[in-house]
This record gives sequence, C-alpha cells and structure tokens, in this order.
Amino acid sequence: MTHESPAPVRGLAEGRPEAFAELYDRHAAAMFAVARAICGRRADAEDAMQQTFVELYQSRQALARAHSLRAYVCRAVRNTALRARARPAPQSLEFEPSSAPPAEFDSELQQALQALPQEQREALVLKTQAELSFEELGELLGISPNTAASRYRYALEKLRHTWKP
Amino acid sequence: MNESPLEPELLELEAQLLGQRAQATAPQLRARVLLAVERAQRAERRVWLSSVAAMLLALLLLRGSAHDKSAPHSAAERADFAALGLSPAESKHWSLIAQRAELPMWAPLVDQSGAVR
Repeated sequence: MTHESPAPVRGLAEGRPEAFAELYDRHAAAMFAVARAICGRRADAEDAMQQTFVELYQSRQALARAHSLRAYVCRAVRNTALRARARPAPQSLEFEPSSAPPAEFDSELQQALQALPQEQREALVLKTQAELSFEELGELLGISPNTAASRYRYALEKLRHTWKP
Repeated sequence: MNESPLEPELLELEAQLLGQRAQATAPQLRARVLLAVERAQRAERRVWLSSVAAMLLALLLLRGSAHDKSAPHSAAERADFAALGLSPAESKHWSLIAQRAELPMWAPLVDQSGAVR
C-alpha cells in the first residue's frame, strides 16, 4: 500500500487528469533529474518524462498500489531512460547547456555529474534529488543498501574535486 | 546497513547538493507531459467505446438471429426436432435440420405426432 494519502491515490487509480497533474507537481523535478542523469541530453530526458507519464497512466492500477510513489515513479523514469539510451541515437550524448534554468542543477554541476561514472551519478542523483533512502535506492538499482551507500559516498568524493559551488 | 557518517567535507557537499535540488520542471515540459496523459486517456476511451459498440452489435445480431423466422421456438417445435434425433443446439440451425431431414429449408418438418411429412 502506498504512503500517499488515499484521495490522490484513488484519483490515480481512476485515471483522473488532476491526480496526474498533482503527481507531476510532486515528483517531476526528481524524475527529471534521474532522467537527465541517465540520458545526458535534455531533449532525451524530456522524451523519457513524457513516455514515463503515459506508461504510468496506462498502468495506473499498479501505480496506485505502489509502496512509495516517489520510489515507484523514479524507477519508472529510470527504466524508460535506460531503454531510450539503449536505442541508437543520431546525436552524441555530450553535455548540452541548459536553456530552461529552473528545472535542474546549474550547468557546472550538471557537467561535473556527467563526468561521474554512470552508477555513481545515478546513486547521487537518486539520493539528493529524489530523496530516496539507501534501502529504496538499493531496491531500485538492484543492489544492496550497503553498495548503494558506497556508490553515493564515492560519487560525493569525486564530485568534491570537480565541482566548486 | 552501512550508513556510516560522512566526513565533514562530504556532509557540506551533500548539503550544497540538497540546496541545488530542483523544485519544479520547466512549465513547457509540464504542459507537454500532461497533454500526453490526456491523449492516452482519450485513446483508451476510444478503444473502450469501440469494444462496447462491437459488443452491442454482436448482441443485436444475436437477437436478430433468435428472431429468425426459420429458427424453431415453440415447445411443440422443439419436441418435433427431438423426435428427429436432433439436439436443441442443432435444432436452432434450420439449414442443418433441413439437411438432415433432406427437406427444403422452408418445408415444415414434422407434424404434432412426430411423423415426418
């Protein structure tokens, strides 16, 4: 059973647009950070967001039964982003400067994140952006909570040398 | 679980990262995503309406078939066909009955005594 209050969850199960708007407002920023950490390019991350929300709507009964909505939607967008990344893309995955600032980390931090190994970047973004616990993080990534904590720590240590706020 | 405390420098960095946490996405992305959800909802409704329409059509066709004048209805008619050794399912199919009785489809098959005319 989800930790969310019953009314929004019922709205999601019934497929009400306002419930999905609320879901977006609560979790989209974290989801987008996850998508961006995996896809690299903003446009690809936006496509992943759109695809994820359509799929969440189509499987809304499972969504409404999720133990933690935030962990569930972050897992969903991660899976979509990984699928998108696996497809051959005509464009390179190089860092693309942000043109719409309010959505994410500043561009220097974004560059520093892109320089991290994929698994450390995911751990860092999921922990700091999606605010997942190490248990949730481990479950989402298919690793133990200890490994999740280690990846997070390594990511912080590397980032300390490459990003100066 | 290994959540050993981070060193002060890492804790400070973590705090700065948390401070950088995005609170919202670009409004254009929000509009685009929610529009896609609405489209998915409309597409789902169209599929649902199509399946309901197909089901209603099938019911109408079945009802029309049941009202087919060539299909037997009355108890007497059912008894007549039973006398011919035809199951109820078979008796509903006038063409099969006619074929087995070697009678034209429009011909009355049996009289009330069960004798083949």
